[in-house]
Amino acid sequence: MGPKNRILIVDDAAFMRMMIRDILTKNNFEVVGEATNGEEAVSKYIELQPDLVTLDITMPGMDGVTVLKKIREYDPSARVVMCSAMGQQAMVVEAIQNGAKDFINKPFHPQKVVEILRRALR
Amino acid sequence: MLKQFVVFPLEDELYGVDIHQVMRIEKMLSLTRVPNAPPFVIGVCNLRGSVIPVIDLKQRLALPSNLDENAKIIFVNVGKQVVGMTIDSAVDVTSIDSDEIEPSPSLVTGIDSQFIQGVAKVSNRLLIILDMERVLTVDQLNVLADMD
Amino acid sequence: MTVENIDLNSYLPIFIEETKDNIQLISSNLLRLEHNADDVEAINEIFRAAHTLKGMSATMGYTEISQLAHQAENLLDEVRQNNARINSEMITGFFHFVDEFEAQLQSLVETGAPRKIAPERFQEILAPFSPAQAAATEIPWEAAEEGQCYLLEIFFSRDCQLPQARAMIICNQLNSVGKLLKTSPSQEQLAQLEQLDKLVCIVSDIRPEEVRALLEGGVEVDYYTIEKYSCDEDPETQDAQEEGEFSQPQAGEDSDSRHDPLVLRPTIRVDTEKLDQLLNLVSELVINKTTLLQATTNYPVLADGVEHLHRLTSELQVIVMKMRMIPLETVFNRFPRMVRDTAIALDKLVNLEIRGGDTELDRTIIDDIADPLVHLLRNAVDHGIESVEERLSRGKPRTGTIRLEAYQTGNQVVIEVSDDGRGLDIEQIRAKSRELRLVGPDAEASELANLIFTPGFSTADNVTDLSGRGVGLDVVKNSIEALGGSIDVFSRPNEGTTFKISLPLTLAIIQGLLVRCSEEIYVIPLSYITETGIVFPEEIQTIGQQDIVMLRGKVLPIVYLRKLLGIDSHSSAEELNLVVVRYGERQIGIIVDDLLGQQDIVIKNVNWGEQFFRCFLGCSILGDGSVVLILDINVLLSVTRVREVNNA
Repeated sequence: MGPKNRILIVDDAAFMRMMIRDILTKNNFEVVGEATNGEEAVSKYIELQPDLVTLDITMPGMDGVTVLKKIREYDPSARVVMCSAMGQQAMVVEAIQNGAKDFINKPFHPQKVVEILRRALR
Repeated sequence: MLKQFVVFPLEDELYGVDIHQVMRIEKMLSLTRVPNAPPFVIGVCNLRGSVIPVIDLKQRLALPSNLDENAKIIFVNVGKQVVGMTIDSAVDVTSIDSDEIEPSPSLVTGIDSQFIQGVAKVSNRLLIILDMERVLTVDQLNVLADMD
Repeated sequence: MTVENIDLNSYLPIFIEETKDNIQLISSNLLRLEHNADDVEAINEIFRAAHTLKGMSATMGYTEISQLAHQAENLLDEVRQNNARINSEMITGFFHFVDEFEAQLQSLVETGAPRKIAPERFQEILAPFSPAQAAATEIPWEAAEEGQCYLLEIFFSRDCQLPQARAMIICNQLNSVGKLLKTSPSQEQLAQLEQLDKLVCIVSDIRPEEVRALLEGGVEVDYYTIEKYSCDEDPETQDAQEEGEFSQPQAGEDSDSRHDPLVLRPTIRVDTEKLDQLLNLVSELVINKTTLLQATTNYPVLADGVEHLHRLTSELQVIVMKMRMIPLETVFNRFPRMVRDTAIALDKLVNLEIRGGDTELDRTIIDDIADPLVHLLRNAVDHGIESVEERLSRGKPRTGTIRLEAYQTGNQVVIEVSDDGRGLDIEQIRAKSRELRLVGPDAEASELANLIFTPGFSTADNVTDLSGRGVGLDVVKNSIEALGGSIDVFSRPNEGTTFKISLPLTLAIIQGLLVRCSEEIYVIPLSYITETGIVFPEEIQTIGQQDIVMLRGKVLPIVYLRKLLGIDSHSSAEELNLVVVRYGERQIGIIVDDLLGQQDIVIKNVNWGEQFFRCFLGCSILGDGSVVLILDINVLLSVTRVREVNNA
């Protein structure tokens, strides 16, 4: 088993961050940081250089797609998986067009989250 | 509101640049001299196929300049203009609540106050936040005057 | 493949009931058509019923039925699009569909599963339709391609969330491991779709194992099929029908005759950085070739070989330049959605027409053209196209049209953005420009129109969120000019506005002579140079304070590049290299340390501190990645005050 993949979690809701963190740590990922808004996400990304970012699509202030663009502007090879809820189809589509590796839908099914992240990290 | 800054030391002070203006930070690149330009314009470099001017930030701020092999270039993007600035070495990212940023630069000495956007205390040190637009705005100098 | 078990049986009775209703609806409307082939409403009813069938059966996971419904839907659409009259053969054909739907329903009731449709059966169903119409049920293949391609059909499971987004991700992944040649629905359509049950792709440069690795181990994909697909086989001999359960796409008649068939040749994907490296290497090769050319002038025995080398390198250079060209559609593709979103946000009806997406431009220019075009398109929706009420009151169609068109003329590529909106308000511009004292009172309309590119010139009385804020058209103009292009505007009141952008086909490329000066290398554009030669220090005389040499009996003032560029030391060489340049009406000799050779120079501009670069036309990057400055001879000599020397 190689080194753990380093993940940055971005979500404005503490509950969602906790949930993702739990899912990931139980499945042998390393959560290297959490960000609660877009600005913080970008700077944490630059600071931590994670292998993958889970990025909430709707946040107050800078939205997920904008954050995605900024991160990929800084690192065009950045792996970002969007977290979306129902009814955010247009934003998901926009995110994919802007280089998001994949997306996971709330409510999260742990197995699915793990599967999608593993695939995105390949 | 929290704001993020890329922070680096120059001489005795800490300086900060708004993280949204920072494109990337590179090790020292090979530079081509630009003849007849003022001394703080230390050359142009090839950044992934684009030609980007590089300035010596310390000279620009009228600080004593002494670039060594640890120097890095921080590429900033201000209003679509991309410029590299040499800095000494270590770089950090820090967040500061905008309320904690003092607009008055009167307590700062050393560099021209026009370059200062504000100051803040970061773990008991003074952080000087640079006004990048001002730093990169250069008057129409008569750069050719001293030729011949 | 594991699929979460939802008890579908509970939905089965209502599914069967509704399917019966829809089959009945199709039958009765086919009969209406039999009586009156022009009954448009009947066609629409059948279309709707087929569509409902497709959606319901896809939800239940009955791909046989949903595909069948899909084919029927496509055939009807083909009829509607071409305003073709339905003849009795076609009605018979649609009744075959009805028969098959009923057989499927029967099978469902009896066995709990739809029945397989044999290829023969499917051909039978399609028989009454003309080949062109039948082709509509297939992906309109335009591909003719050698090499190994694979046909990939991916069926999304019913619990796949956002299958269209999933399909886009699969497209991205396929593109990262291989080359995605074609998809149905197209990648552009995917972004607009509400639902999707099947994605068909043609991929090449891929190993099937890679595809499996991508698609397996996820619950989103119900199942998929992958098979070798030879794009270049003659459709007559292609025996693909026996392979699959459904028709294989064939290079049949193109049902959409508006487009020229696209001929795809085998391609490989290359990292753009490698292309840049290649260009730089070729440039270096050209320098070396020139050095060789100079070194061998005294050896006629080598002349032929060197001449051949010269031709080869030139051809190589042309090819590399061509490799950097990519079609504009890579940028255009994102616009339909953007225009649509902007129009919705502004509550306007806008139709975007795109033409000439296949026009090619240098990659570097393509990268930088997107932003200005976004700006112009947003402007067109925001300020150009009127609200529906206003359009109706002016006797215009409800829906406004924005045209984005690209074409090549000579060495230029033109991109036009035009709208059929209200046009520029010339009187308002006139008033504003008088206020700003930009023009005289009797300025022509065309002169006034172009004032909208002036910094700070905005007449938009209603500044919206989408455009007109902060960056104005002056930024667009600057970006275009930075690419070596130009922009013009033409407008007629109540008829619309056209922006015409002209761009160089490739980057600004000039022929330049590389010269060495101390340790530095500079470029002198060949267009300035009349000749080069060698002078010995003892030939230099001084008249007044001006150094000169005699060239063919005439006095030639000389200047030293080292001095011009602020290098204090003098060259101690025994022979000096002389570059004679035109400077206005005069000729002036420039002493350089070495002549390194001549080559095509790609001009790159620096976008900051232009006052520091006044002596330079721009920069270029050499084969080794180093940056060189291109001398602007006129500026350089204008500040050195070369003294007039009487030529008598």
